[in-house]
Amino acid sequence: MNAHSGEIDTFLSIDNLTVEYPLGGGKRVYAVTNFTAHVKRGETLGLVGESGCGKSSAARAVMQLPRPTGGKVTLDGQELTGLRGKALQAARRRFQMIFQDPIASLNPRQTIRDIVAAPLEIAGIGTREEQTRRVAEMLDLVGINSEQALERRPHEFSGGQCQRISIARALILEPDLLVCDEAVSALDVSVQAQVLNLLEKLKTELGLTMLFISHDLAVVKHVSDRVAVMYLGKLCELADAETIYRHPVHPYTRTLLSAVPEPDPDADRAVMELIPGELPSPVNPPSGCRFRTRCPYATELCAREVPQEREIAKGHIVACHHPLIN
Amino acid sequence: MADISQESGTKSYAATPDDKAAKHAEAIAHFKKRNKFGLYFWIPMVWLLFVLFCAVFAPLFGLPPADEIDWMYIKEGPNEVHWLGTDSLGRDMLSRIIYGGRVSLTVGFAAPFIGVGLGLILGMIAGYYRGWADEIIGIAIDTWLAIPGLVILLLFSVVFGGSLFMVCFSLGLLFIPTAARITRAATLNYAGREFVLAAKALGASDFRILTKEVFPNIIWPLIAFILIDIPIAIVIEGSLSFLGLSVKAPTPSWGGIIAEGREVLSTSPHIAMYPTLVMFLTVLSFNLVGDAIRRRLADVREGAI
Amino acid sequence: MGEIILDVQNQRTAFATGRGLLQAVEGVSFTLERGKTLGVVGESGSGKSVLSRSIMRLLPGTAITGPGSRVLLNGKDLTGMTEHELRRLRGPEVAIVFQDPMTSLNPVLTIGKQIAEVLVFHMGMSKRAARAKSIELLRAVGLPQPDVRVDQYPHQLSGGMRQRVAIAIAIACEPDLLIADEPTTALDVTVQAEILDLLGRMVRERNMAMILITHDMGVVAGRCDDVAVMYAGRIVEKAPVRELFGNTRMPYTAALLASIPRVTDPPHRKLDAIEGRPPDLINPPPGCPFAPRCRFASAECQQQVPALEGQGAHQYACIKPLNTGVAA
Repeated sequence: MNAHSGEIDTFLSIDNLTVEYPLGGGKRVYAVTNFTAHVKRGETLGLVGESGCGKSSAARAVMQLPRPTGGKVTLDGQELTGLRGKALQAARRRFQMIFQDPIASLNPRQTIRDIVAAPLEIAGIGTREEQTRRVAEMLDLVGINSEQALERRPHEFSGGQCQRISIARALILEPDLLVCDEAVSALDVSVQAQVLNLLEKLKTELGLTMLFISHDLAVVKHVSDRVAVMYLGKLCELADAETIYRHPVHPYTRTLLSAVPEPDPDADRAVMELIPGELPSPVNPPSGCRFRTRCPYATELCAREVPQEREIAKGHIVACHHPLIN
Repeated sequence: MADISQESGTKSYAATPDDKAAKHAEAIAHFKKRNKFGLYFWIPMVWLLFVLFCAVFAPLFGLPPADEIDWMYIKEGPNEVHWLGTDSLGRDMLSRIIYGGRVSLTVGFAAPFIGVGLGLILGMIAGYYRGWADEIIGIAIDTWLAIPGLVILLLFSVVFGGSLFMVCFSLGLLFIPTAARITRAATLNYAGREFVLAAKALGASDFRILTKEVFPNIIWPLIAFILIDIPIAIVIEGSLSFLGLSVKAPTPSWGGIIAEGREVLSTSPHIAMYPTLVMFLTVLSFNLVGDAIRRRLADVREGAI
Repeated sequence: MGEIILDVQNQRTAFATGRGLLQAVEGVSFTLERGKTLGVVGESGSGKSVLSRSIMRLLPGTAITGPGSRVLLNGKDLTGMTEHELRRLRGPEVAIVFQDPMTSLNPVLTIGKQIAEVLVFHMGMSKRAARAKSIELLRAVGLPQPDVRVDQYPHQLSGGMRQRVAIAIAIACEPDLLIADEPTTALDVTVQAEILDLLGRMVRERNMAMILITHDMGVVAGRCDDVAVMYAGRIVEKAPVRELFGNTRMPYTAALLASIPRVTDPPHRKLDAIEGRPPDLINPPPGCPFAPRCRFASAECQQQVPALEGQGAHQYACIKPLNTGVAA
């Protein structure tokens, strides 16, 4: 039944990832349900969806922050979900994360030197001088003038510079996997382009594998080799970037794409209509297909049965009873 | 402050366009005026420094010991031998007030620090770990708050006696609940920030996160809290002395001297009046200075984030 | 030529800071006609939000308005008005929709009460009439079950629904001018499209004028008549929307458009990022504010600030404009 046909060279594998939060009163938030995706070494998997779709929860579950409720995360053969305590802390240097808010990601009371050196300190690597030298190298690599930056504090830098500093901190231990959670969403377009270019450059130079989470479909397409679309905690569609943007087959993917505001006055602005109404709550997700309450193609089958993930073309996975295949 | 914000929406600068330097200077001045330390800060500050100086260097002034009885002058008003007169036992009032100040100021500083120190630990644990630790600490604090402060102080005074340390400690206990709550709220705020998450992602230990990431950020509200508590502690210590629950006689303290002066208020009002006046000015000064510093701290915090 | 609703003349807004005078809006002038939508695009710090607050006279205490700055709304000069006079205008003549409806709505009042409050204050309606009108307005902005929602609190609604409520409050007194300040930035794309459609419909149906402030070129592209691009407190290019996108003259606008990732691009295309960062508004560089980042800039550009000029509706502040071969 597994549509994610056995890739041999899988580097990061996420299998049946489930994240639930207890709400009290016996209720739970079903943030992510049975999410599966496999990423090859050096590949970037984009994760898109609207707020509440579970993309950030999935990212944090991969980071073991906190550990997921169910499922397995395996990085280069090491099962992260099975690690505890010191073993997990030691393994953490292999996977790092960049957050959305560039300024909130940096402790306002510490100097840039201390912020970027923290990973080395925690891992107990090098003397203070060696650490400082390494920090300077990293800052120069991400385009921050280290001579001027070391002794300053985060508020003296712009959002784009803070995000570069975050990248330096995340990469100083030379991780294999970099998880970017809305890493450029808070930046202005001109700065966003700089940071995206930097991430692409570093990815190639350092051979990083990336998990790139964003609500912005254009940004995700820009950096991703493959893209997964999520809705209300479930995977809707997963395919390589070109395919999913050109031939989306899940009705939700199609809606999302049609709503992207293109910077072109003559672009088609007709958004594929959804059934009006609220996004259902992840506390009480609809039965069967979670998208059915807003899907114009929904039938009685969609309410009854959860659509299984199936591979409609090589590497193109969709979870829908009525995919839009012409 | 208020009048500026009311008007400046329509206020315009009159300088000519090329008069750039003057415009900048004007703008900086306008900005600085809002948070300058004015006379309300400096006058009380001078008084506090004076009181502090007297208390610290009391033995160097050649004053008669605070418990030395001068049989020549009993219940005398100010004169050339005893500048502030003597009390009903013929002890030098100036000396008693200065040495009494040592007790009041020690308690005033030590009690809030003890309270905030303990409250800080409890609050950080509750705010960072949440869950059952939070619940237990929460219940403990609520219970502690349900016992009247005076009962606690009485109990300590009776059981442990009136040493200076015990007075500081028992008073400090009263500050724990509020300090713990402030710390908990601030910790909650920062524990969810992305830089704390980033530290966790790096495999940092909880101790490192609490001391290096969280603590430097929550210290400012606590300093503001200590500034409020110093005058409160001085007043409470004064009240305790007045009731005879603070340090034991003959060690002088302001409240104690006032209590002694109360009995001869009609004949020798100066005995109660001088320590009351000194205490009044000191507490008022602490409040004014504390307010000014807290305003400045708020600006610093806004500027830093 | 339609009826002019808003006439902004040489608006200058500065802030007193610890480092000196921060010139947030510098010499902005434009007019806006009834029934038209002006898009104002800019990155953070470009002065677009300060401009909207300058027009509304909703500036904080540290703000200083330049001499000679005038804002004429329906011919009335707002510059010298008292707070009391302004309050009478906010609502019936000009209204604003903010970015975050969660903070612009009062969390402890039902949404019905918040709309009714405006109607009672400005239109002198009775409470009963105001409630009926509130339900009607909520229906007009597409809130499902308006007669139930009217008694709910803001936290019971989703972000998109709250923004609909904020729009209902803004249009309650039928203003002539609606300022929408990043109205969809906090919302998801599918909801964004709905809210932008709603704003456009309101402008058409009620024959208002609208200023749509955004950082997103994609948002203005489909929904405005004219677009003004702001940089470092100034309008650097202003043109009818098709003209702006099709015949861009100002290098900043062109660079901004080039730096946007597009869904139509192939993956991993290197973006044409604008190097550097916007100028320090306390000590701006001499001449054109974009010159330090502009690949076409020469020494000439640093001589003096170029004025906003050009033929007809297409204006730009640049001495070395692009596309000079193509006659507009």
